[in-house]
Amino acid sequence: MDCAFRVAFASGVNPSLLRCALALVGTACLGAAPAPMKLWPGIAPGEKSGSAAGPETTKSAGYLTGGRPVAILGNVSEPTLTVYRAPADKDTGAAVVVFPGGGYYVLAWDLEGTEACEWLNSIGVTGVLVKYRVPRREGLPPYAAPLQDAQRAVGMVRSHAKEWGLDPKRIGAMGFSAGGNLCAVLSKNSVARTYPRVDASDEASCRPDFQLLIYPAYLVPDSGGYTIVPEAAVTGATPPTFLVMAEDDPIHVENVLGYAMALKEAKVPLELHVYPIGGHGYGLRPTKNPLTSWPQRAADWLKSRGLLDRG
Amino acid sequence: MTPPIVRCALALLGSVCLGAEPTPMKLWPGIAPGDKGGLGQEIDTTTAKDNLIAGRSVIRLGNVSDPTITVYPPTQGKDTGAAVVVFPGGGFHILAMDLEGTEVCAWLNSIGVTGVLLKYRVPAREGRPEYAAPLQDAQRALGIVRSHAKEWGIDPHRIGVLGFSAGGHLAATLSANSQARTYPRVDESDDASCRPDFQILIYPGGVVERGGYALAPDVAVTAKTPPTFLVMAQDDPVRPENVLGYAMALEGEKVPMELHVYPSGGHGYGLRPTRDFVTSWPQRAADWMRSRGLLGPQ
Repeated sequence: MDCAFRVAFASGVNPSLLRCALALVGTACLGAAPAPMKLWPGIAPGEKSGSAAGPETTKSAGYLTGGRPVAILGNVSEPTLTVYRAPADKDTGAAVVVFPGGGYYVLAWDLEGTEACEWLNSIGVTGVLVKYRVPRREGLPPYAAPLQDAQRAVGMVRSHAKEWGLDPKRIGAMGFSAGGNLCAVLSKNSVARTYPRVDASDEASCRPDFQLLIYPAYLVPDSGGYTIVPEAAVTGATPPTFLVMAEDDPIHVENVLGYAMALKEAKVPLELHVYPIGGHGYGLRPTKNPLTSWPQRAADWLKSRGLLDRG
Repeated sequence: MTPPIVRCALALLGSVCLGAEPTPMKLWPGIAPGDKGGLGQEIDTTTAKDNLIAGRSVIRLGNVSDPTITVYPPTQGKDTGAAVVVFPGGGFHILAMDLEGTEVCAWLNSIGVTGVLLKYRVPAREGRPEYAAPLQDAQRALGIVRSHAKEWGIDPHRIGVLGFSAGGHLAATLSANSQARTYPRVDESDDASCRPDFQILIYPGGVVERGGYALAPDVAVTAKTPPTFLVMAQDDPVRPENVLGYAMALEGEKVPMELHVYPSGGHGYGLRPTRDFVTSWPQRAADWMRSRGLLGPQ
């Protein structure tokens, strides 16, 4: 509704209102999508010019999730962020930088990206959607190029906080699957940038003030166990964390159980919800499964931490 | 004189409807197994100095030597046929009979479930593990409920348990010890299975060994452990290791489980709502029961 309203406001034309309303039935309201901003002024660090990977691709996944198709982005070599401003009448001043999943191979763009930003907007939070580099770069850890993009993105948001009407102390991160891994890796690696300084944005802290890891991947070794991998290690400086996962997730519930134990040991406030069934990759699309009510748990958590107080 | 229906409606605002209070049933025909008597009078040990929970006092029943069950059936139009045997907590010293007992049965009734409140023996009996006498009471209670299922209009395949704190420990101990009774057979109730069909552990204590995540031997988890719902706050002084350790063990045995850890809330909140979101757990528990088909066809 809000989306339709904004388009109508911008264009003043009825047909676009209709088109927008129809689009809402599907996925995001394309008409109102804000413009992406490039993360890097030139070529992203570590990339070779004239990306060998070929042009960016958008496809529909070969399956339905929550009864709807999923848009999959591939071959991302020009990372961006897109700011989905909270509607003025609801704006709390809080922001969440969103990292979609896709195994560091692709990005589940609507399911774990634009739809997350729409939900954040509905609770008065600005969503900042990061299109980070995929697939994995040869010769580098899978998270290496995405971590640079994530550090850069959070720094840009924080350094533009005043200009964008955001509270620089309420900038969180939220990630799904590999994007959840990226959040945890960012939280561990927010003391120093992993690329040479580009501009003033790189002087702002890139530490998320809070993080939401939704069915995160790769936090524990493939070989099993509950010990967190070094690149995502938890310390007393890890931000307060919200975790959700299904017990039957093929990516393994050990990821959240292990991370929760590490947070507890480090005395970092945590909230954890494990549901018995639900698998992986459900995003925020509601079904009859109580697991899919997790956004309500997340909203309650944000609220209980005072993150939704009007600044 | 207030008419009973008004008195009842008023009482519901507080906790349970006193006007409709069902009668407790003795668990054992004579003296409970292993008891020698001489405990003194059963008594509410709460004094004016004790903490309030969500602004209200709590009954702390001590010296229980005559264990009972009390059956709280739901209103007829709502009845789903499911039953839950409720184990109040109190560190095996006392029983929080309203906070973690009658109030739970009132909530179960509200979702169409029969609540069966177990008054088990406390304090711990000298020379026996603290859970030993309560485990006998719990085994006996489950057998009585299951053997009376038809008579009481209960589905014998949807009889669960719900325990708080030490009562959560007792639920897990019962689940681990439901193959054989720990007392000599009394009657045919002891021939019915005492395995809960599902269990709900709310801020359980004593599940893990001190200082780690390894389970205490009396709550060992196997593939036969019933599907489990767990809730605890991170800042619980009884320590969230109890639910994390149990969840890991359940996951290892592929037993379906649901776990909610909230950052704050402490211990001993029962079902009384406060500002802490952990106190919304009854909604999570109802969703869990519904999704497992325990509240009837979906």
